[in-house]
Amino acid sequence: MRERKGKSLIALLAVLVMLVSTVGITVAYFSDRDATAGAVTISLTPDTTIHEGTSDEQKDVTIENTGDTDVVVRVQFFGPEGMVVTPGDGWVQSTDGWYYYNEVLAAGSETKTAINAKIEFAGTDEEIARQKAELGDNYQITVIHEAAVATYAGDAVDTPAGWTLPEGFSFK
Amino acid sequence: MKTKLSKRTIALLAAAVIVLSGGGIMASRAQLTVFSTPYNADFAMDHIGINLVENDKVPTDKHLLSGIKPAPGKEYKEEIAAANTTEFNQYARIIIRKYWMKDGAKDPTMDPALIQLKYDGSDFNTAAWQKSNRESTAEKQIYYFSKKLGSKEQTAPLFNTFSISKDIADAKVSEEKDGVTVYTYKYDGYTAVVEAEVQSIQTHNANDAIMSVWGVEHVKANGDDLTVTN
Repeated sequence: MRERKGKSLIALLAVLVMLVSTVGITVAYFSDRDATAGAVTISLTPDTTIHEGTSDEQKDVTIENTGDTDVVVRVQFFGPEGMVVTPGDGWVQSTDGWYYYNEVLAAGSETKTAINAKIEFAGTDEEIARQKAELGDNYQITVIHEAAVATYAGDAVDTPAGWTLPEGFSFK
Repeated sequence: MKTKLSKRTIALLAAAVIVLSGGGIMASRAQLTVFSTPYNADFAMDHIGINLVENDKVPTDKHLLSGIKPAPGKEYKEEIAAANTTEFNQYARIIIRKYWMKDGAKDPTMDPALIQLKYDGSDFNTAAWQKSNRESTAEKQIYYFSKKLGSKEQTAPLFNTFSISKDIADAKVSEEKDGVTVYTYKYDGYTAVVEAEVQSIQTHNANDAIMSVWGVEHVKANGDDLTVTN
């Protein structure tokens, strides 16, 4: 009788061991995941195109940002005596001779206004003709422009290295 | 007095020993899986669900940063959060990976810290999230949402801006060409990559679930709260 009880106990223990070990390895927890990614390419080389009209004696200059990042721009004119520069809204001359445009040009955008430069002559038609003849190859306006990648400190735009902005001027 | 065991008893004992050995081996294998590759140890089921949310929407085609042409230092709106899509409570964490690529290959020598995700100028939204410093590196950061995420609820944003540090414009070399100084920028043409992954677990038996699924002991659930000990 005692021997039978012992055997039953062993059998019961074996079944319990089977149950416990099975339960132990099937515990799982509810979980989920979701993933996404993005990428942006950095452009630190400004890419701009100048539009300046076709006349030797008059330039109507706008600058277009043809690159992939924000830029700031400035232009300078060289011409004979009598050259007059008329900046449009947003263009401001500095003490270094450059004209600075006060808006950041986003990728694909262009200055909203032109800066105009032309040679003005005074006198009669004969005197003007004589002045033009005297100028010869100098009867033209040369315009150069520069662009720099805009870098930001909060909402403010930094001044590019080597640029001397007009007093009270800031990019917006 | 010796007790003689019958053949049947011996067979039962042998079966028990086999089951024990088998169970032990399987348990050991499960442990190894959990600790060696914690992100693959999820037992994904349909009963709970989580979505990553960008600017209050699930990102189109799973792409972040759409339409951004970054200017150095400029901040762009980039709210990153998580949303519980089911009826069940969950705890959530977000894993961020940032790195640089060039010509299709990852470049580990470039500084991931120059790729910046921030919240109101701070590193992240500390009012709602906790960073796990133990699990974070320069390239990867893990943030835990501090509260239980209820049914159909959305977390507070972890970040709300994306920017590229303007310091990338200082990383340059110069050379003289025909009397003109020409700068070559180290990061010009590089691609900044941001990966975001949200993971969630059940709130019932949460500490066991955290240990089993995420494989960490320093993150503990207590009622509605989740606490990270760094």
